[in-house]
Amino acid sequence: MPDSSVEPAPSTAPARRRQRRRWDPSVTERAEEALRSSLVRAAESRVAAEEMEAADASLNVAPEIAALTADALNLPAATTVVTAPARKLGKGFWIAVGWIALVIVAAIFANVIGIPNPNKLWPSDPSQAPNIHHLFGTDIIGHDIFNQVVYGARTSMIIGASSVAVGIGIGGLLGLIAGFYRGALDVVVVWVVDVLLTLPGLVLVLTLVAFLGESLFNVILAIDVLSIPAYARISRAATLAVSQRDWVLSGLSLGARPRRVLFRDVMPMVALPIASYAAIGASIAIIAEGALAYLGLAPASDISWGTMIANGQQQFTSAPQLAFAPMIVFFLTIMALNFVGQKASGALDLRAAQL
Amino acid sequence: MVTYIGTRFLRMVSVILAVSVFTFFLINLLPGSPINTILGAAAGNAAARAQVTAQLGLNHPIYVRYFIWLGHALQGNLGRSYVSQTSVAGTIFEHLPLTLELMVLAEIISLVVAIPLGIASGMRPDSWFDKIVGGVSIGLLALPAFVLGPLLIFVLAVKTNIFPPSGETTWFTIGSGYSPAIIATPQSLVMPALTLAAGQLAVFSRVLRGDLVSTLKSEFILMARSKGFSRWYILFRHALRPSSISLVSLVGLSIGGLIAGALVVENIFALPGMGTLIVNSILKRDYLMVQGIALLISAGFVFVNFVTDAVYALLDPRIRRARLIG
Repeated sequence: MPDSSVEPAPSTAPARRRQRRRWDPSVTERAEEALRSSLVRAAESRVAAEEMEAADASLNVAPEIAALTADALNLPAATTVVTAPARKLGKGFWIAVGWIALVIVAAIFANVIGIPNPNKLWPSDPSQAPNIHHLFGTDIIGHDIFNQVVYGARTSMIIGASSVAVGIGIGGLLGLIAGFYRGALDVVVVWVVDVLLTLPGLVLVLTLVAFLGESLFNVILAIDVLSIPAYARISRAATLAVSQRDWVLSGLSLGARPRRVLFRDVMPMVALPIASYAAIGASIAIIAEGALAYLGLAPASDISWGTMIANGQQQFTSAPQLAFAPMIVFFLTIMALNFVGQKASGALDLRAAQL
Repeated sequence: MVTYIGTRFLRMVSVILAVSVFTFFLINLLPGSPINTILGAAAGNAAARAQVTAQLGLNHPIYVRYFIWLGHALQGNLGRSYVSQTSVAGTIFEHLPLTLELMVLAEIISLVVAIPLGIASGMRPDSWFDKIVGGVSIGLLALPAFVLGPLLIFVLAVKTNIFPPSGETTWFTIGSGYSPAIIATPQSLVMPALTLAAGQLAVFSRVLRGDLVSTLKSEFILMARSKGFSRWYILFRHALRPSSISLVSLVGLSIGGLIAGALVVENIFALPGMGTLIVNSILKRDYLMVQGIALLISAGFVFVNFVTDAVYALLDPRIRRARLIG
């Protein structure tokens, strides 16, 4: 997360850089150096954005330009830097992170921490209200709802994590390459991304799953493929902006190979905006899986919150907790992801949270 | 102007062609022989096999098949479903009006609720009212349809009996025949439309609020106030129009979200629209129907985007210049 990273003070960094260069410029050292100096650059360009704002105000140049540049680099727009010098994450952020961590731990370690198999039946106590033995009660044939909710986190987290991994791995890389080298590849990537982003995503997911067959793998495949374009667009936009910065141009004019400049100087700066989108991207993917499961198009053998809501709804009058338990957990998870995403991208812009 | 709309039009055609290629090749994703899969239980029937082979043109190479299929699709012939024994295009148009009605109602609800909320919170930013609206908006964005829908059913139907939990009351029908297209009475679609509207309502009101806050800070508002105009006169005469640009463009962009949302919402409330049609067709393995629906929704959506772009370009000259450059 960009906000939590600690930036070394710009004044000490050049000294440290000189020292290291004299000492031993081994490969690992240089990698470490690149990371550190990119953080320094981030700090420096943030200062530069502030200076630009000041200069703009005196020269009466359109302030949008400063805001746009800062925006493209995912720095807070210069005006917010001025009005809110300390970018605090706040308690809410850490509560949200805590909830997501809890869900992830539950998803990974459900069987380690002794949560019984979600398909296990308690034939002696079906249709129970929440009690000490069954925290969320049991359903009509004696499934423990708490166990099912915990194991349901697995499906959601697999979808969320894989969409982020595929989105960054393929989409982020494509956007990086297209935005840096431009040319024919860029034209193709932009066109494909535009096409995929202008089509209603859920319809495509539904159709793909219908024709590929309803298995968890196919659901993941469809959702992951359709999460690529959003990452590619963000990555390309950031790359375009970063590629014009001084350190990139000077690297190229000093004769560094473009590939080296791309991965050492451009990529670290592009990584931040992409990473800040990951939480929002994961929440979109999880909602898509929930919708598929609710519609009965996910495999019935996998426990999923969407399936649980659809099944629980059948007994709304007699046992509302059957639907409400997964509904509340789903709501909290999406809310936490959206909140973290918003805070991380540094702008309280609700438009970013829209599907 | 003409150049701008012309470019957009060519783009639309290219995207629709891409979509048609994609949906055409969907059939080829099916495992095994498409004839067996499409016919299902009727695969043993030689006459049916010959009919499918002829309809899909399976004796031609694949690119020839694509153009034959495209030609038929352009004439409104999306084939015949072997599961329901009806024409795909006919069935789609029996289900389309209800979905459109639901989308229109949802759009009306979101605007009717979001505009007053946005104005009220934008006029007094950071007041307690603004904070509550902001908090609720963030909550609404975290409530996908399949969580909010059941919640509304529980509160408004199961507990209080204000609305029926599902289904619709027919207002009138379009066309005649075995199953004419249904238009439901608006009051029977209140809950589904609310579910569909919730998320975008939150976005609309926040966006209007944000633009209004920045407009009210500008100098021409100060000027108007110093002339002695009342708050409300300034709001409606001066501030609202320049603050509504983002909202107007969002309304156009929201149609895509509405289509996807409507598919889920119809299934929650058991409404016989496109959403229930596509889900039932998937469950019944009615592949030609799914293919037809996917093609129609995607193409319709791309067309709507084109119209929105063209209308904005007509309304706002800055847009057509900015987008041509960018």
